[in-house]
Amino acid sequence: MTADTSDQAQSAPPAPSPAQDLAVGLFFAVFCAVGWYSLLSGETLMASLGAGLDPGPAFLPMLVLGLLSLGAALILIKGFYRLAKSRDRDENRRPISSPGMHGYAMAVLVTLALLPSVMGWLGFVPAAFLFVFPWIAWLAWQRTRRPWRSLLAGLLYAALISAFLYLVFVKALKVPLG
Amino acid sequence: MLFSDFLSSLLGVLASPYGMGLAVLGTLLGILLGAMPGVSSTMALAILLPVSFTMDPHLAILFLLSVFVASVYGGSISAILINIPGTPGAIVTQLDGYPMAQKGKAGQALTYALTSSTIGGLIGLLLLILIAPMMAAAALNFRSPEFAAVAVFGLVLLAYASPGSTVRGMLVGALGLLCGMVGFDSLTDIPRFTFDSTLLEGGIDLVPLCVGLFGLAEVMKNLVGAAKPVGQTLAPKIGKLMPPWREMLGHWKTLLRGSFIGAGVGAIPAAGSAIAVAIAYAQEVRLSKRPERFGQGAEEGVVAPEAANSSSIGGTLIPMMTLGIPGDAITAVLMGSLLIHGLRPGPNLFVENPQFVSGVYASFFLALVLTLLVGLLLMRWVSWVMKIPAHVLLVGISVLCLVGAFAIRNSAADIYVMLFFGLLGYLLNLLRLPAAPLAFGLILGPLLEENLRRSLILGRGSWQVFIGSPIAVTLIVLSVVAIALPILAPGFVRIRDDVRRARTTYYQ
Repeated sequence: MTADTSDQAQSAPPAPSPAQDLAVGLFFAVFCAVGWYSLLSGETLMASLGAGLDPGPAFLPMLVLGLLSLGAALILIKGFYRLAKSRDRDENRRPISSPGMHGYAMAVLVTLALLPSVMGWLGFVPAAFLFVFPWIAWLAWQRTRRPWRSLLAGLLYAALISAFLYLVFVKALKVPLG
Repeated sequence: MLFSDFLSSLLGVLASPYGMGLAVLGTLLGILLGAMPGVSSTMALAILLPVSFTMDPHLAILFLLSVFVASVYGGSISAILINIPGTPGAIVTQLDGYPMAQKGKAGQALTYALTSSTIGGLIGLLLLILIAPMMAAAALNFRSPEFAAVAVFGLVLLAYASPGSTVRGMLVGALGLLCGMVGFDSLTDIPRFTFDSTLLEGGIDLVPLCVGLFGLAEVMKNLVGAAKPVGQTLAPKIGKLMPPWREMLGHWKTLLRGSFIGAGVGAIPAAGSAIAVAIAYAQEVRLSKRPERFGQGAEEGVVAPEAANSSSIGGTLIPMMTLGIPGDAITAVLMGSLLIHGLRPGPNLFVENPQFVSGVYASFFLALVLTLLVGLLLMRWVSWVMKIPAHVLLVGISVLCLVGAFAIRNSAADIYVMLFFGLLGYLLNLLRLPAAPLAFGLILGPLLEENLRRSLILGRGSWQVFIGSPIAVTLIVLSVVAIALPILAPGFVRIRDDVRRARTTYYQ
């Protein structure tokens, strides 16, 4: 999982491409847009500005959002400038990452987001088992290409992990989980 | 007074079977999690943080410090046995630890790492005990302008030392500041950034943020690699554990140098253990009469970084305990534990709750001793941890993140906050932006806002109140320099190169 650092030391990561600069600028710009919208639409919040000696609760958000917007704008300008200036089409087209690698990450996020609802219907242990079993079986199959062994590993580890979490959180820590 | 407080706290823990049980459990978990490649100390602490929520604050800090200290040693196990550092602080240990293991001296390398960690940690603790009260006493004279400047300086420094561009790190820190403003304003009760959602009215808690950012995001990042077929990890035989006593004692200078470098570098906010170990190692190579031995299995190459790694813990606790500035991402998580128990680290903690401070020292001491004992007992069998398949570990951790986030306040809202920050951490990694400044921003945001507003009230709306304080001015100037330096430095380098080129052309 953790990369061999001696290899890392030998090969420094490539400099960010113009596309990456644009993506970073856009990332911050989205937060700025959401932040400004929320700030400016809060009438009570905006009315508190300069109302007394206290600069008010809108003061620091405005200051921080202003700096963030400036930073986002500068990164975007840098990205566009580099994109326009660069003649290296390969560098410009270099993707931030390969799209295929995000499937697992998004799948784990979605299944985890569904888990609280499943826990509400079935209870904690069955829900945790239902989450862990397919994930481990699938990943084990991807690693070994042995279907029966992967299913068995999924069953065994799912039972162990669910039981462990039940004992620690429900029994020992008295967390009201489903 | 200090020593008697320390002793009474230590005896209090030793007399409590529950406390001792928690400390041993924390040590065991810390060593095992630290030894697992891919589980950093930060991640280990983040996923175990919710477990400590129901504990008494003294026991929670004892448990978490045990995990922290033990995971630092644990990180060196996989670095020595399979050439993959378990934690970033063990990056340098592998350079000589792994060659030692290949020469059949794996057990000896582990013993060097463990004893150096313990002694280094004790030196770090000693410096913490000596320096922290002095710094806290000095910080007691701080007023709002100084604290506001400290918060700005801390945030800038933490972004400065984060990997990648400082400006981008600062922008992530600004995002963290905004996250800290979500919810009702503490002075006026006016809602901010809540989008009329009850989920956000209570604000963003540090714990789900840390669990998502340092736990779930790491799982999401590593899951694709865990699905790939891999060969069996073969750890070498442990062999003889104890090196000859004379040889061991002969490294005392290396040990002391590494320890002092680690504690000193660790005390600088954001410098962190990875920088401390690199400096300690480089120093040993420079001072060695036979530098060619380094990289080939030199014992000093294990002793120096491991001593520095552990002693940096004491160092990172100094700014956290005295100023309320987390020294690095791990102490940010540790601070989260104190905050959920209603304890805000800072100079006032030394005045209002000195028993708790001495309890932290006693817990740290106990964690070091237990790491030594449990580490020695486990040494022959610890390599089995590396046989746990990565995919099992990651799936288990992902459920642990979810359950842990819920367990803090028994609130489903915290689960969704954790998932959001997991996604955000994943995106930050994808965009090569540092994630830790987000947590720093959330921690330092309230400190900054409260003191900035109070300063402006005191100064009747004038910013001159900051100019009137030499400490605040110094810190603000240093912050500006830290921001400007990386922006201006390439320009200076270019100008210098142009001048050199011009001179060369002229003289030719």
